[in-house]
Amino acid sequence: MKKVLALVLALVLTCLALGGCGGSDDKDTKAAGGTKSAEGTKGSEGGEAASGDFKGKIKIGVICPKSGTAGDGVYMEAVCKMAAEEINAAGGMDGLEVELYVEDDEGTAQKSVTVAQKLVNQDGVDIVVGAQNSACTLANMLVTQEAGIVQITPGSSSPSITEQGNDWIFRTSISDLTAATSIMEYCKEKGYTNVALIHSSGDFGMTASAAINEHCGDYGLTIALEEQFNDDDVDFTTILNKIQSEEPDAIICWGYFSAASHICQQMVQNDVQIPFMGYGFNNPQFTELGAEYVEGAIVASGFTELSAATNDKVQPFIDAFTAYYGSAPTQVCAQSYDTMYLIKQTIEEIGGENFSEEAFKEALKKQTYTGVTGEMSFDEKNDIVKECTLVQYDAEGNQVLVEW
Amino acid sequence: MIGTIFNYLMNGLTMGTIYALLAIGVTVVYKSMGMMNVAHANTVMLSAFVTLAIQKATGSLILSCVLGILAMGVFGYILERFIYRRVNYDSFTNLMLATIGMQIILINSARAIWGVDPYSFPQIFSIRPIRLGPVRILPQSIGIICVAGLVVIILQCFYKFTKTGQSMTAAATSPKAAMMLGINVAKTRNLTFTISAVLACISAILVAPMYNVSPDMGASVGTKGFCAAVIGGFGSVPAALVGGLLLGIIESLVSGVLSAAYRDIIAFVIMILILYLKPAGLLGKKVEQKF
Amino acid sequence: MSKAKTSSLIKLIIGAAVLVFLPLAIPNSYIMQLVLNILIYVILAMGLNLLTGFTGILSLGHAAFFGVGAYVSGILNTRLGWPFWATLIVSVVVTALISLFLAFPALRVKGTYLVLMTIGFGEVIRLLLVNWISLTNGPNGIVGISYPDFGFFKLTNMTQCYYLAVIFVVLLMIYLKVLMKSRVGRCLLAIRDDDRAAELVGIDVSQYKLKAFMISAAYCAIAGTLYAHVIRYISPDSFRADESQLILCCVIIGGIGTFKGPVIGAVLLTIIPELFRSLQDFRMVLYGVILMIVIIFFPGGVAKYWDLLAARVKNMVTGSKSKAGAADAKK
Repeated sequence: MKKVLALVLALVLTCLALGGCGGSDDKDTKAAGGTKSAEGTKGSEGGEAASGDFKGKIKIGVICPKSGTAGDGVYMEAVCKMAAEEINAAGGMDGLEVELYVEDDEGTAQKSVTVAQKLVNQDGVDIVVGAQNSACTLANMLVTQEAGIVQITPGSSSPSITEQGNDWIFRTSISDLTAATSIMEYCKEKGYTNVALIHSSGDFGMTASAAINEHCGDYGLTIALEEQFNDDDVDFTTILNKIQSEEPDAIICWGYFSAASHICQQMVQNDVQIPFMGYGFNNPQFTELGAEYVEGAIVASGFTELSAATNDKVQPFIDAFTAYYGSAPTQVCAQSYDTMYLIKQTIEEIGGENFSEEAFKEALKKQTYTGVTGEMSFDEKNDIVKECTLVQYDAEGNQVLVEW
Repeated sequence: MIGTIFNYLMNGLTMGTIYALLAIGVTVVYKSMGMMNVAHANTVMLSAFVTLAIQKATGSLILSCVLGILAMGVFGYILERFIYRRVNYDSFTNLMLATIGMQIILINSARAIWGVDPYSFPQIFSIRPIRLGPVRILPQSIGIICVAGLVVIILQCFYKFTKTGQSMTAAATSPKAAMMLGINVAKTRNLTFTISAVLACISAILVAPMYNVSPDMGASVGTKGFCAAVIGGFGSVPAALVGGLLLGIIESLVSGVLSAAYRDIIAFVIMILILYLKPAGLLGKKVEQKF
Repeated sequence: MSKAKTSSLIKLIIGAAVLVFLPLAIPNSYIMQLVLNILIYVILAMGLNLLTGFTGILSLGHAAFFGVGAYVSGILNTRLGWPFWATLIVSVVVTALISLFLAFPALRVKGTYLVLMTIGFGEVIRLLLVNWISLTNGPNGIVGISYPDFGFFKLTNMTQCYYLAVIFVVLLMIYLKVLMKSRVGRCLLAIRDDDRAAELVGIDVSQYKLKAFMISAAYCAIAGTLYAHVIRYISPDSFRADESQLILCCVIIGGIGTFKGPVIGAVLLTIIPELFRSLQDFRMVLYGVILMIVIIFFPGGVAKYWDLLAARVKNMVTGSKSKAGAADAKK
């Protein structure tokens, strides 16, 4: 019995090994000899028999957390796939067919480095989109840097990513600092002086805490109370009681939708009537779980469906994604979508057959693009320059632009 | 000041009752089998999904609770009968590793089947806190304490006064001696797991409205369940209840008086201290070393 | 030379050749990264095996020592610019001392209580790594650790790191074998089998248990230092409870209390999740199922069955010869 089982297991593993690493005959020619040199021209394989009427292929690797504690990388995967399909249906990126390689980094730095290695060295991708978690990007951007491959993160918000002197990493997501600045400016406009700061204990919240602590004086704000919570906490009554006794003018919250929806609900339950604002919960799930309790909450937003009024790319995107995946797009979705089209625009500028990492990088730096998240360009650190709006939730859970 | 402290005490009941439920669940398994079931919190998660699925299909909350409990009972039965039984029961390590394997399977299957987004579970208790003077307490906490208390009483009666219950205790203390006495040890183990799965489902129904149902639900409080059981006295069901409530209250006090950053660390520090100073726990009398 | 010695010498030469020439067979950095991961986990598993397999103390908190080792190296390297050999020494010493915080209380408890204590310890260390921001930079982790450098000689790529890691694995394996053959090793085994009997025979059980803890932690610290200098970025996320579980799985599935067990376990548990990447959603489910299958059908670990299989193969190969010999003997 055991022998049979052992044999079966060995067979299954061998098959999976061959299946998983299969199709690498043409990749061996590129991957042989280890890492690519940054100066080498990596043109599209001109003589390759490409499908349809494409001139060649452009390989894009996507790194997102599909399992692990966050697990919502599935959104990023879905939207990139959708964008790739749309682009290919319209003729590809300047005639290059988009080939997507999606890898799950499980939200941990170690795995993120491993999958980045796999994408860069085994799959031979030309561009990397990812990762989502800041800690993962900080780890795996060393891989793309050494290989001389452009990496664009549509989801990592830690300011330190663009502070490392790494020229190959670009960010298309607004950083914590940008969002914090918007919030703090709003507080100053409203005449708030005392705020309570509550944030996630993960890298997202801690980075924001550091940034807000450092700059709050510039906006005339003092932090009356600072508390942290875990992303999967459900009970915030003690923190709210503490806040109540301090009586701040506003509560600034940096966390994801799950915690934020619980906080809003418990604020209502405990009669805490203090203005609530922050970043990280700009997600349809926030209203779904928080229901009527989110009324009045303000969130800094890199993407809002309200922009459909002025930006005619937005509604089709929302409809298409909802049809494709089954729920409304999140901010990271929108940012990833724009990233894909930004890549397309850059490739069209340099010409598909002239693709080289250096050329792409230089062209990308100078791009301005208007996508579903608005108008964007890059600063000298390859960080995105984009407006950050503030939206407020009304009684029906819809977002309303905050005028200030 | 005293009012605030009292408030923290009451707040502590919210999480405390949840810890108590988890602690009772793992204690039942440990008490009867000397086995550490790391996958208990994940079984709670599975129960929540199953019950929610039934509720969406039938539209009736009560029916889904009943059917859910039955379904999970069957699940526990099958789990022990066909999977855990094949693991060598003399090996504590292998048993625990089997539950670790089960944990991986449960979380990832749930993710693959239901996706990562949380679902809302219908509310059983009203959300508004009840006011007793300056103090607020959630109806949920009162509800859980009542149910948990009832469960504890039923279990204690079961263990002390019924033949099956007594056999379970005997089988746990010494399986070989029990077998010689004619006790069907395999059956008692099976029953233990079934009961533990049923408890998991009951916990799920009480807790899911607050947590929202997702594959990662409760993954991090699972270990706290063990902390709570140890603090009360591992191996005794009433002690598990007390330990859970105590842990919740202590965490809340520390959060309130010091800072929420210390909340998690205090649970584990206390657990280590108790294991060092009084392994039998606060209520336990003697330490039963099974291995 | 006797036949046995010749055959083990041949095995040794083949093994050494494989290790030395392996990088030539590795097509790209991704596979090299996996190989390095395997080597690091081999060291971790060897460390845990010493404590669990040879001394009988089960621990689900070893990620703590891995983490402390990595962080001490990372902090000394990025803030004080210390070279590899210096960070290694300090990291080993610090981790061994910290292990005493667990070792002393652990003397008193057994079974589930011991496991819970190790879990608690692991969590406390992890929470310290996360929250002691001034020291560890919190959840953001430490960036910019350098490749191993020895002052006069700096490593610059993964292949060189590979050789460094191999040297460590070989040395640590030799040390372990020597240790287990010595009096210390025999005492540890005696403690594993029955510590009260060992006490009666005159073995100072507490002292040996403490030593086992410290050496086990030292191994993990070495693995942590290698990890820090090779991945060059560390964050508390890498040292959670599931990491401890993984190390234990390597030991148990590989073969608890054996020498090749940790190696087999590390290889299997690193490669299997990578092989399954094509399965996407069900990847980790299958991983869990395979774990269960091994635990149920191959308890004690793969190493034992590996040996049995090797013996069978040997029998089949030499079977014909021995049959002829037996026929002669009967005459």
